[in-house]
Amino acid sequence: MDLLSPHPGLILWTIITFVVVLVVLKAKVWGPLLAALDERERSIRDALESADRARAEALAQQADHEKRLVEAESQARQIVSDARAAAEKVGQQVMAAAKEEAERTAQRGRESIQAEKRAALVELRREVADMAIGAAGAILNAELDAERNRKLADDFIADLPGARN
Amino acid sequence: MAADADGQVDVVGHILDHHSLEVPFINAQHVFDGHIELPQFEVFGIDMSITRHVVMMWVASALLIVTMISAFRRPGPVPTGLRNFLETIIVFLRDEVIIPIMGESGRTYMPFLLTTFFFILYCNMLGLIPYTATATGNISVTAALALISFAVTQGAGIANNGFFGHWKNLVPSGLPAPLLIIMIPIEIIGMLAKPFALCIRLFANMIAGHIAILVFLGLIIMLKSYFVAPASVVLAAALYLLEIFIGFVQAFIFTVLTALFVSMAAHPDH
Repeated sequence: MDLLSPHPGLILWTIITFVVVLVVLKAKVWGPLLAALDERERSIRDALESADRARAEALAQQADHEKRLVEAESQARQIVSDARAAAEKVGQQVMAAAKEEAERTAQRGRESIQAEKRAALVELRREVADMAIGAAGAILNAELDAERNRKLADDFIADLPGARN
Repeated sequence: MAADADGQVDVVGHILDHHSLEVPFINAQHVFDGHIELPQFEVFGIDMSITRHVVMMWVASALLIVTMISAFRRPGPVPTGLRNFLETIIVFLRDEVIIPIMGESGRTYMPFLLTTFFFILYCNMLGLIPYTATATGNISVTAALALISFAVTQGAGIANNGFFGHWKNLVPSGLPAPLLIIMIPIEIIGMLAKPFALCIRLFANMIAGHIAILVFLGLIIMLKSYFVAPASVVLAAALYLLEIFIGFVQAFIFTVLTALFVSMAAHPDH
């Protein structure tokens, strides 16, 4: 056997061996393995894509939440300021009403004082008249009859200054 | 290693094919130099003897099939151990070599190209174990592998471009008629030179390292001196490591070039 002369038997054996190995490995190893590799790559790609999607969704949700939070804050601030304004208004109304009530009460007081004063004056006048009549009667008991005296006293009182009030 | 009493070392004899296997410890007279005779027979006038290289090829094939099947037996999604290692090589070949060269159609040729790579790799590596032989260091074996590569290349061209289209693609289209007289022989030679180069490259690379290792070790015997031994052993060990690397590289080159030739035949326009 020479180093450089091809040997047909060995060439045939090599081809037969190679084909047998190819057939066995293709059926038992390469086919399932290459399919499994493709399947794994597909599943990794899917997983990455779904992770990306989930992250985008989470970001969107976070942004949404932040927006809502800001909205809620501004709403709360609005509500507080509204409430404060309303309370102030109510307070002012209450103050105004109270002032008015006080005013009215004072007015009423003044009016009742006035009326009391007038009634007291009328009473006083009558008392005075009666006293005058009594005094005059005691003085002039015998000569003057009661009718004439009353008229005299009335005239006298009517002539008093401020009697009409 | 065959070394006779005169200190002659039969370097080439170690590389050549034989009708016997070297086996140690089979008889008391030749403890490290026993032989098992292998059957010799002819089929239809062709010498189909089971030679040492045929046996080595079968051993490599058996190892290849056993390792692959045991590594990929469990199909779970997470690779571990040997399967992880082999998958790394396979995915590298697919994604970094075959698909960039051949495009998506490379997936069809993946089983063939992977078998080519691992078959050559196992034959190369098996030859590095003492008492074995390197089947890929035999020109008949590499010629057969080159013939297979050539057949697949032509088959891919015919399958993609039709029988006549494939042969028309041998020469670039649009050449003036007189040039064809020169171009057709050149292209035919080029077509045949590719598998020839594949055959010689693998064969020469595989025997070169073995011869160099044998020569370094043989120097000890030829010079009959112990003082040569340290240098010889160190150099032989270094060459041995280089041989491991070359075993991978040559399997890879053979596979890549086959992929390239198949792709060129299938898609001649680029």
